[in-house]
Amino acid sequence: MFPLNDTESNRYGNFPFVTVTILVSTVAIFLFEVRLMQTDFVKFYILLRSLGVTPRAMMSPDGWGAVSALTSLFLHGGWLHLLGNMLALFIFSRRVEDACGAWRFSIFYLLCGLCGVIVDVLIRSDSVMPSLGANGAVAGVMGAYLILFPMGRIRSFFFAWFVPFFPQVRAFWIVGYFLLFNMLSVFDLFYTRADFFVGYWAHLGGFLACLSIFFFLRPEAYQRYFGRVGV
Amino acid sequence: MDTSTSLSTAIAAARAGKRREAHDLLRLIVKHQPSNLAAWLWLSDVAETLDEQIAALESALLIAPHNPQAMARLETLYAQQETTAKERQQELMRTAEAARRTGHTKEAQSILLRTVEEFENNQTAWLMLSETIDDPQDQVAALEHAFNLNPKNTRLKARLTLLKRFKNDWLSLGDLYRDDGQMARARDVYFTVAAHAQSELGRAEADRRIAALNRLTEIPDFKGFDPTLTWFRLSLAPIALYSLFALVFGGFDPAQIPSLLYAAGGSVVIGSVLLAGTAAPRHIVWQLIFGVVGLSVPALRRIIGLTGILLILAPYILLVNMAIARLPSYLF
Repeated sequence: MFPLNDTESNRYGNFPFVTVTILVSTVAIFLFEVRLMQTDFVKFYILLRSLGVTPRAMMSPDGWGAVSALTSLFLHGGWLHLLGNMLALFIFSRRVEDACGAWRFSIFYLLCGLCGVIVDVLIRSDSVMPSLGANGAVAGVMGAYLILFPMGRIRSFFFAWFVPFFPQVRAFWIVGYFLLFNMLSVFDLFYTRADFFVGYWAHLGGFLACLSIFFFLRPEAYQRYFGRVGV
Repeated sequence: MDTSTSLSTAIAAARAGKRREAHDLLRLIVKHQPSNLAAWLWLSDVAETLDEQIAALESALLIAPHNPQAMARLETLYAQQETTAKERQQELMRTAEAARRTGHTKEAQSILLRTVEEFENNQTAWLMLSETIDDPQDQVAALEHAFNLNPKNTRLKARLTLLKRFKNDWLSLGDLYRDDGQMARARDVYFTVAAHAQSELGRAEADRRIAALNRLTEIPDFKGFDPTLTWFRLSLAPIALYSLFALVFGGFDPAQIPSLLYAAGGSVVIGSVLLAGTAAPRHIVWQLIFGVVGLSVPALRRIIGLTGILLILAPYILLVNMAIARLPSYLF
């Protein structure tokens, strides 16, 4: 079952400028990556090594961590990686941005991404394998959505005997499943000590950072949340 | 006219309980003979209203200033008049308050107008009147009356200053009411702005605030935003992000973070505090610095907000620059 979109409208009527900007810029940067990979693979490789998060470089005081922590949020390792992150961003970030306002949401997005990167780097501190993607940031946005709109209805899609269905599923099922899946994966990695290619720890780091959403909500949304009338 | 006969007739009528007859006769006597002490004293006895009784006794005392009987009686009447006036004022205020609570603002307004006409020194009535009339100019006038009656009331003074400052900037005035939790008044002001807006932009702005106000009224027991909480809450985000960036820059070792970045952190803190402070324009800190209006003046708020943004951005730019300088040269 794939989530498709959030069926509920914005309460504060803001156009999601930041969400759209992130979506467009991330896709544009990915297209640039693809083009570079086809035309000059060496340069592409250097780009990934330098602008992706390489834990050993980040742990070094002479490393270039602060920039790559930022730039890695806009780089992706493949079409599926990009589509997964951008779909989740498209579904969950619109209303979170609406509840925060554009500027505060952009800081929240970066903070979640950075927390994801930090947790990922601390876990695999000796690794020289760069990690890419907005995983932590998107997980943070999903977590914030779960906190603010647990009963939000997400239109989803699945096939049953070749017949397509589009049920509206409550957000807590979808985000809860995502969180549980990541936690199980992390436990699995922890016990098997296997190498991994998905940033599960970054997801959890971003998810943890979503708790800071209360520092970003516009005053009205904050009052509504604690007044129990729905953000 | 034979006043002595008339006076005797009037006294007899008064004693016989024919008060109206006695009253008319005595009125006639004092009209022709204003210095007739006995007539005034008897008139004070048979007068129909408290005010007339007092007026008669006051006239009697003008003729005989040391008349103990008149003085004692006048004192009693004054006390009685005061009690009656107090009771009447209380009754009027109760009715006005009830009308206001049930949403009959116009009725409350007319009762209060009657009250202040009758009892010009009723401060509460002036205050309540200022809260029921729509026009800010009239509100200022009513508040000035109340303030003149009690110039030591600092809250009243602050309110008057704010009203005078914003009586021509109705959107800010509406914001003031909204921040004070006076939703109905804020809505009235916004609706007036929307109705009289000269441009589409002005109307859209008023409509936006009306929609926001409607959303706020959905919150049970909403009594306005807590400015300290708002300020503190919104200050933290840029500081947290900068701290994490600096930590990453130092390879997760705080000792490796350059002292310049530590110093720049101070700028982020100040900038965040300034920027977040614009969301709490009537915080006591702003009022201490800029007077009772605080940061409610839009231009001032913009300047402070812009300063905050610059103070936040500068250290971030410095940090990113320093990090870019560390990028491997082969990348370029």
